[in-house]
Amino acid sequence: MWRIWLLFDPRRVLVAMAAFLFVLAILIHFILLSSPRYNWLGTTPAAVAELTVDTVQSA
Amino acid sequence: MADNANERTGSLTGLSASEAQAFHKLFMVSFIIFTLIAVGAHYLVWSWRPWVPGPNGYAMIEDTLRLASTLVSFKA
Repeated sequence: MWRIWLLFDPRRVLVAMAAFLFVLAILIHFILLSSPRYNWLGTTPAAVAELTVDTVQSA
Repeated sequence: MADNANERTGSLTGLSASEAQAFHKLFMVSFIIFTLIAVGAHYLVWSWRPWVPGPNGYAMIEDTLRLASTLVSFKA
């Protein structure tokens, strides 16, 4: 398995992976923030509405 | 010098076998740590709000959780 580094340049792989993972993480976090269920800040009108519905249903 | 040249034969990146092995060890340790942190984060988010709804949507999961917590509180 270590022979992969004879084929691919470690520096390029690290830079490419860091860039890819960072963009992916930012993308996923923004997608979650834009959804009412997984917006952990809970300050958008949609999120507040959903939380209110949850509270009413559970009461 | 000749040994060094032989060691690098067949290497497109110019790394020797020992250099590649050393980098691989570091890479795998970092990868495993990264993966463990990601698994931990997923576990926490799943316990907060699971992302696979039941047949009746998220309400069923929430009802089940509510029932479970009610039963636990009765037992306690």
